[in-house]
Amino acid sequence: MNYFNADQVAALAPDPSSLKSGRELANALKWESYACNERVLFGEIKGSGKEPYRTQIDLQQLGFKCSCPSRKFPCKHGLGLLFLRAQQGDAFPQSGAEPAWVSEWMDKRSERAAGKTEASEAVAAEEAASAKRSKEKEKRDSKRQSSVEAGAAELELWLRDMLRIGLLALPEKEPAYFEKTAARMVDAKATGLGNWVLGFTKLPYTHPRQWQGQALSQAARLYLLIQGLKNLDKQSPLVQEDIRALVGWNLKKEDLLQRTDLETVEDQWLVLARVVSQEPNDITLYKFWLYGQKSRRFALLLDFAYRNMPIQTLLAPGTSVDATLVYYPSNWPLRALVKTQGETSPEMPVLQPEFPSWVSVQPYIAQVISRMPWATEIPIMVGALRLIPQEERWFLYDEENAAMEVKGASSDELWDILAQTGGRAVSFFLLRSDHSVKPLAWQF
Amino acid sequence: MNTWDDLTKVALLGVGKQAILPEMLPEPLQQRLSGASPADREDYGYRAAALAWAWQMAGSMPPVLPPPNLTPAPETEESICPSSLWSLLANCLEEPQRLGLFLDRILEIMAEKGHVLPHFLLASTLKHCAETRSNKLKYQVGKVLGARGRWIAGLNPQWRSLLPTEAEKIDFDTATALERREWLASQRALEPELVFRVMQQAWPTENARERKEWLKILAVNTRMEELPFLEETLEAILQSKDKDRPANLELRHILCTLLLRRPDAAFFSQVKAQLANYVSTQSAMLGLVKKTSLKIPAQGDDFLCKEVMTETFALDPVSPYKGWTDSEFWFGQLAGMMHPFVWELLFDAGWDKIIPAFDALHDEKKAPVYYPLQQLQLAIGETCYRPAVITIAQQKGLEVLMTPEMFPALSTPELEQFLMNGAQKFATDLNTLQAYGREWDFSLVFSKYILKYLSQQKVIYSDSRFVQKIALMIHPGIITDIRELESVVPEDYYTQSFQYQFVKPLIHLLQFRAQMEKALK
Repeated sequence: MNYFNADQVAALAPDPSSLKSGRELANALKWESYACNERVLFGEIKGSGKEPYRTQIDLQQLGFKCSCPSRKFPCKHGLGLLFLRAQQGDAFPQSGAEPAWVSEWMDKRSERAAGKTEASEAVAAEEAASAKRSKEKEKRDSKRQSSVEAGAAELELWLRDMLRIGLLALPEKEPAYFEKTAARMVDAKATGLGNWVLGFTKLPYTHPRQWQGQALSQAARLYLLIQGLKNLDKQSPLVQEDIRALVGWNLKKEDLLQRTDLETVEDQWLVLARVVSQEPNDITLYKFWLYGQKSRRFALLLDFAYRNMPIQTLLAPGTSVDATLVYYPSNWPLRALVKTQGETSPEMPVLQPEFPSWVSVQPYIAQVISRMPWATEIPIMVGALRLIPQEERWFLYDEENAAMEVKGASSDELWDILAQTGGRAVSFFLLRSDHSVKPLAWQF
Repeated sequence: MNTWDDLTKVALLGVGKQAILPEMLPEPLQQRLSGASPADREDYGYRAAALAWAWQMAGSMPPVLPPPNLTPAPETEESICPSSLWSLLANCLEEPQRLGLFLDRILEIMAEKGHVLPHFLLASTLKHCAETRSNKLKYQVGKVLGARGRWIAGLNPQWRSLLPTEAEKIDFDTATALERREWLASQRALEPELVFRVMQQAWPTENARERKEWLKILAVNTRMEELPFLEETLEAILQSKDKDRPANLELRHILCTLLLRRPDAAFFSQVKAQLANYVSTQSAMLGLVKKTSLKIPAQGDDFLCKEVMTETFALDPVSPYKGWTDSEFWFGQLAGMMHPFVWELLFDAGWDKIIPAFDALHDEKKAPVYYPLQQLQLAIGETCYRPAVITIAQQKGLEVLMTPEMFPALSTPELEQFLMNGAQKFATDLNTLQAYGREWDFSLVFSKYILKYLSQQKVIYSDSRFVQKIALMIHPGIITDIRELESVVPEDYYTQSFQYQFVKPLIHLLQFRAQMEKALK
C-alpha cells in the first residue's frame, strides 16, 4: 500500500513549529488508537481536554480534520499521524471498518465535493441575473483604466529619464527612490507595474556583469509592457489578457471557475515543487509547480497566506494528484486553478523527458519568448543531464557537453542532488531564466 | 562582443550621451525596428533592448565545454541502514539543537552493524558533521559513508576531512607544514605506527619549530618502540652546538617531559636513580615499622645543580618563587614532570605512605613544596595518576582535588559517589566530564539522586544540550519518577522552568531514546 514519505509529510507543515511538534507526535506510545484503510487515516490522541482529540486524514482527496482547538492547518496531530504512518510503513494497523465519526466526515466530504459544482453554478446564475451589478463593474473598470493609463504614462517618463541619464547610476539609488515610484503605481491601481519597479531593488548590484544586463532587460521589458498597454486594442485577446494581468488586473477565482471559454485540463498532475517566498505586508507566497502526465503541460498554482494563516492548497512535492485545472487566459497559459481535485498518490510516475538536450530546448524557449516576452521563469524538462560542480559554480551538462549554469538553488540543495544522483545523467525539471536554470526536481 | 553587451554599454552611460543606432543591431532586428525612429533615443533604445533580449534568449545556445572531469560514483554495495533508523537520524539532523547529541550514538551503532547512510541523507549528515565541533562525530561519520558517501565527501573540500583514513591521501613532499601537522594529528589516534614512521623519515629535514609541534603529536599514544627514537633525539640535541637556542630549549623540555612520563624509558631509570638519594627510610620497632621521608638539600648537590637542571632538563636556572630555594624549585619541577609511579618505586609503598612524606616536606619548609601535588592535579587527566588521586582524595577529602581533570581518572561508581558528595556544580562538572570524553550510563541510584537534586535547584534550565546529555545517560528506569515530577503543580517560576524546560523535554528525549534503542536492536 502506498503512503506519504516523511519528506512529503514535512512539506505539508504550515510552519516549522508545527513540523517539530508533528514529528514529536510520530510516536505510537502517544496515540490511544490509530489505523488506516485505502481512503482514510484516523487516530485518537490524548490532549489537554477530557476527551481525546480525533484526527482524520482523507488520503484520496487530501484533507485533514482534527477536534483539537488549533487554528493551524494541518495541525500537529494530523502531521504526527502522517509521520507515524511514514515511519511504520506496512506495519501500520489496517482497519476495514471505520468508526462512525470517521465515516460521517468522509461521507460529508464526498457530498460537499459533489455539491461544489452545483453551488458555483447557482452563484453564476444569480450573478448573470444581476445586470445592474455588471453595469457598475463596467463603470469601475473604466475609471480604473484611466487611472492605470495615467500611472503608466508617468512610469514611461520615469523609464525614459533612467535610460537617458544612464543605468550606471542605479546602484547608488536608495531603495526609497524605487519604492516611491512603485507606491505611485499602487495608487494608480497598477500594482503589477509597481512590482516591476520594485524588481530594480533586487538586482545583484554586487556583481557588475550580472546586474547591468539584468537592469537593461528589466527596464526594456517594462517599457514594452507600457507600450503594450498603450496599444491594448491592437493586441490579440490573449495578449490583452496577459498585459492586463501583468499590469495588475486580478481575475477573481470565482469568475474564472465560472467562465466556459477557458482551457481546462484533466490529468494526473505531478507536484514537482513548492517554492515559498516572503512578500511585502506579511504575505507568504506559495508557488506549486505541477506537470501533467498525459498532457505534458506545466501548471503553476499560486496561493497566498497572510501571517500565519493557513493556505488552501494541500499538495506535497513528490506526490501526484488527479485533478482538473483551469488555466488563466494567456497567450502562454501557465498559471492555473484547481477546479476539481481527486485522489492523491504518494508515487511519482517515471516520465519520458520532453527534451533530450540543451539544443532541443532552444526552439521551445524561442516559442515561449515570442508568445510571452515577459516570462521570467520558463519550466522545462530535460533528460540525461549531469550535475557538475566546478569551483564555486554548478553546471548541468548534456550528453554533447553543452553546459548550462545553475543558479537560484542553494549549495546545500545542489550537493544533495549530486549525492543522490552520484554524478550520473538524470532527467531534470528546471526553471529557465535568462542564461541559467534552477532545478525543481529530478528523476532517474 | 555581442549585440546585448554593446547595448548594455550604451545604456549604462545613457542614451543622452550616445544613441543606440540601427547599425548596432543584427539585420533581422533592424528590420523589425524599421517602424521606430532612432531620433527618439529612449524609445528606440528600449525597443532595441527588448528585441535584443528576446533575440539572445531565443537564440543563444549554452557553450559546449570539455567533458567534465568527474567520475560517477561507484555502485553502493553496502547495506543501507533501515528506515526505522534513518528516520531518527533525519529527525536529529532537522533539529540539531534538540537532538544533536543523539547523532553520535546512532552513527556509532550504524557503524557497528555495518550499515551505511542512505544517499538522500549523505549531504545533510556530512554538512552537519563538518560544522560540528565534536571530533567524535567527525570520526564516526567516516565509518558510515559507504562508497557513495566517500565519493561525495571527496568532491567537497569542506567534507574531505571527514573521510576515513584509508580514503584520505596526503603527499608529504608537497603538503604545507600546516597540512602535514593536521594530517599527523588527525591520524595519530587512529594509526600511531604510520604517523611515527612518517615522522621518523621526515624528521631530519624539519626545523625546530615544526619538530616541537610533532613531538606534541607524538605525546599522544606514545609507544614503547618510539622511546629509543625520543632518547636519541634528546641526546643529539644535547650534543649539538645550538642546544641553547630557545627553540631547542623548548624541544629539550618537551622531550624530557615525554621520557619522564615513561617508566619504561632508560632516561626515566637514570633520573629515578638520582631521586633515590632524597628518599631515606628509617626502621623502628625492630624493623617492624618503617618511615620513609623526603629530604632535599637546601644548597643543591651534583644532581640538583644549575648545570644538570638547565642542560639536561632545560629548567630555569634560578627559582622564580619567593621562599623556594633553587634546589626545591628544581625538585618540584622534576616531580611534576615524572610519572608518579617513580614515587611508588622509590618509597616501595603505596600512596598512603607517599602523601605524608610530601606533607612533612611542606610543613617543614613552610613553603609551597606542595608543588608536586599541584602538578599531579594538573596532569591528573592521565590515568597513571589515578592511584595517587584516589589516595589523595581519601586522605584529604575530595575538595582538595576538586578539579575537572581528576574526574576521568575515577571509575564509574567512584565518580558517581564523588558527584553525589559534591553535586553543587553538577551541571558544570558534567560539561567538563563530557569535554574530556567521559560518558557513562547513570546507575538508577545516581539517576534518582541527580533528578531530585536538579529539581531542588533554583535555576532556569535554558540549556537544551544539558537536557540532551542527561537524556542520553540517565537510567531508563527513572521514567516513573520523571512522570511524577511532570504532574506536580509548579509553585514558583523556578519549578515551572524545571518542568517546562527540563522535565517535559526530558520525557520527549527519553521517548526518542527508547525509539532509537528499539530501532538499533
